[in-house]
Amino acid sequence: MTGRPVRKPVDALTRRRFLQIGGTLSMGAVLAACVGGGSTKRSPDSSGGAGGRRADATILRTLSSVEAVAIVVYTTTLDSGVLTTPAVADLAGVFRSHHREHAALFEGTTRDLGGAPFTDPNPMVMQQVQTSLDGLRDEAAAVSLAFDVETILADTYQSTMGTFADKSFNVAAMSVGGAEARHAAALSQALGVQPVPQAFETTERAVPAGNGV
Amino acid sequence: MAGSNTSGDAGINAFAQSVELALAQAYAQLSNSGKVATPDAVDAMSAFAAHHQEHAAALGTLAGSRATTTPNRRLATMLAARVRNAPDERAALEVALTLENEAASTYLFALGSLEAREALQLSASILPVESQHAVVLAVLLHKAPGETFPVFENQDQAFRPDQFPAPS
Repeated sequence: MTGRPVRKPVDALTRRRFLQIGGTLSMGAVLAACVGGGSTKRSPDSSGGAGGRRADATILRTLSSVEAVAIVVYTTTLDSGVLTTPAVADLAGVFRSHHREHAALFEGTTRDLGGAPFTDPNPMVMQQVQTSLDGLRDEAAAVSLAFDVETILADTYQSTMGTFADKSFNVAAMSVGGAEARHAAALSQALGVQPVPQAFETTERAVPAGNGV
Repeated sequence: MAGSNTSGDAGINAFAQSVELALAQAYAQLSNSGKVATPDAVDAMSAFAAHHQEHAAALGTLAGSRATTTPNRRLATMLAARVRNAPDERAALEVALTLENEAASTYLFALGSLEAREALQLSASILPVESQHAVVLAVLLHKAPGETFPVFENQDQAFRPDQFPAPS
């Protein structure tokens, strides 16, 4: 025994883990083969070279920064005691745990790409939500704020499509974006608002890659 | 080739279009079955069917010459059997919930192969809507959060073109 340190779970959240989210490697080739066209093979380096890795790291830093905003919002909300409905408080706890996992994933993948993980809440988004966060008075206000944040996150993931140098990141990003959209739907129902008002999601509230990070 | 529609993308969009047409048809069958009567459930069925028609139309535009007007035959057959075998409203809503989760999974699957930005963005604008449909149905069914909110969407339930070939 060499006394080698045991890797913490978060260390396992590497680029490989990122690529495994949603099964990118195995499934994409199947689809391309069945419908024709495209390529069923991955190039030896699908990352777009050093420039591509840098650009992807910037996107991932942006994603971890907005996840950090969500963690702050849910933590503040849960700690404030305004969530008086047990089911709503339970959901907030579940969603916060999801955001922690998402943030850890993007931080780990940023590191794998040679970048510095961004672990702070995105300052530009925090500026947008701070007033609401400071003035939380009741459950409805807290749920409304959480809905806003989840919408920003869902829009941000959607907006990354077609921007990654490493195209295999598309699946992983939308595997998170879809999860955030589910959160938003649940929160809109709690607010008594139509949860799926239109057939297509937009990117109106997306945080552009690089903003605030 | 980012920013343009590749031949591979056209095939994927045509496949997804055939899936959406099959989903819309399944909702029509659910609505016509008389098994769904609760107003909230009826409203959801109607709204979601319309969404799937809109998705099919948008995908058809990107599919170009490979666009179809025919629901995916094998999938439509499978979904019709599910609808037929659902004895009551709860079972009918379970059918809808399952197909929405499968649809979300299918778009994630497609995103692994699409190349053009326009095609990627269209699929990425539909996937969250299917996921949200699933949430609404799960709430109607009083499902537990653990069954409704995955940490990550996945491709495990995707309709695959090797199992459900698109109409040619």
